[in-house]
Amino acid sequence: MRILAVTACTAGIAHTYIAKEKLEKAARDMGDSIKVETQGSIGVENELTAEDIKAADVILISADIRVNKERFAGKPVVEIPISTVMKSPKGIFTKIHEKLGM
Amino acid sequence: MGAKKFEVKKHVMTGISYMIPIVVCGGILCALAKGFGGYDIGNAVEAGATPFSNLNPFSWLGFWWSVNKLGSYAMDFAVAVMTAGVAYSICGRPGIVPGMVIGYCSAQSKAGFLGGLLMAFVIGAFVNWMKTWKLPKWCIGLMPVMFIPVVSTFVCGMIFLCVFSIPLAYIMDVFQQWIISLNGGAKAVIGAVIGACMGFDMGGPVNKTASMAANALGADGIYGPMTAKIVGGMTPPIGLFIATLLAKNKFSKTQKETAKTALPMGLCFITEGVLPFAAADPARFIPSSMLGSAVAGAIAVAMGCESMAGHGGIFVVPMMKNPIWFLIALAIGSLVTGVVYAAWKRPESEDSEEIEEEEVDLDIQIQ
Repeated sequence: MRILAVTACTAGIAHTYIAKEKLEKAARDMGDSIKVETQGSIGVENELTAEDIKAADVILISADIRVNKERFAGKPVVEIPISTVMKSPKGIFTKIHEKLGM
Repeated sequence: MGAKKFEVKKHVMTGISYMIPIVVCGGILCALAKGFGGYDIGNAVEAGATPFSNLNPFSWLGFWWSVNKLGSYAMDFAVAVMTAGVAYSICGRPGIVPGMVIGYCSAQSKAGFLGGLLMAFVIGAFVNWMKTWKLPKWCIGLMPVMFIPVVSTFVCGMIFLCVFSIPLAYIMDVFQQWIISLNGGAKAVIGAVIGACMGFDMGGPVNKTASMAANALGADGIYGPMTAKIVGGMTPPIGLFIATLLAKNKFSKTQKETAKTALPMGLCFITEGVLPFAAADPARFIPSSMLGSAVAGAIAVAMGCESMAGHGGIFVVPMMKNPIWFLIALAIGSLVTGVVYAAWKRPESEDSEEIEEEEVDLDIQIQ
């Protein structure tokens, strides 16, 4: 499954990037492809492109702050607090697989 | 956690997220200026037609007075930026203008952070309601550039000044007067409370609330609690590093590696460095870190440490009042956290790296 994710935490210096690593590792372990955009204090890095979004099966927004969702119009979007990503990154993917039936 | 509660928290966190850099900028510039230009640098240049009329930026005092001015302007705008950020999170771009204006108004009226936060929710709700207005086609274009900014600022601003600003300013004033009136033993209590909050959730809402209380006091010229805030946020990562040295066998290899990065983060006052540990073992780590932070905060405030800077960790220590006591507080607090956690922690077997994962529930929405 092709997963896109956006991470953003309050201070934008630690959680944002820890969550990115957790998601990437969990996706690797489960055999999914993933690209993670970070919205830290420094701004957007590893930006999701329009082609990425077009090709994605699901978009995972893991943020404690506001993330604009307009560009994901028409796509399945999952929103989840960063703390859940810290605790159970694989659990999130398992559930997504289950719900989307993929 | 209910979806609604998560939403509210998200709005608040968005605002705080935007505010952190400006608070750091203002705090450190002011601290630098006061460190080099003297405590009274703010009065070094007489105001003329503008505050800058009599300024000679190429003189020693003039230079640091300018730096101080930049820092204090940054501090003046901190609540405005936070309010605009929360309003933006609730109602999108149209929230920024009323948020800025009313947030600044709140700061100037001494209703401060609380007033700004409250008004951000009023603004958000009001603008979201304005967006539902059905207008004739010819004036739809005027909605975002004229009606929303003018009407929302006018209505919400007057609601603030007529209804909220007076009692809010009163509550803040009473609280601040109470802190000012504390001395000796009670000062240690304030330091301990702020410290304990800082050590509780490592950058989460309780930590940020304590930070804001200290910042608000700093903005009003009470600089003692600021040291409790800084020291309380620095001890958890340093304490954790000490724990990994004391109880080598209880930590896995990966954990010891992670702890090495926690040390510099602690010195820079980035409490978030300990999150991997706090998340893995909250029942033991959080009480240990609260204890250490509370002890450190109590020592720092009781011994009369003061800091103009709200951030900067070890780099702003030389600019503090009573820096030696600050360092002693930092060392003792870190040791407390380190010793308590080292003694309390259960030994880690190398393969238990993977944290038990819980069942996750989530909703998938098509945007």
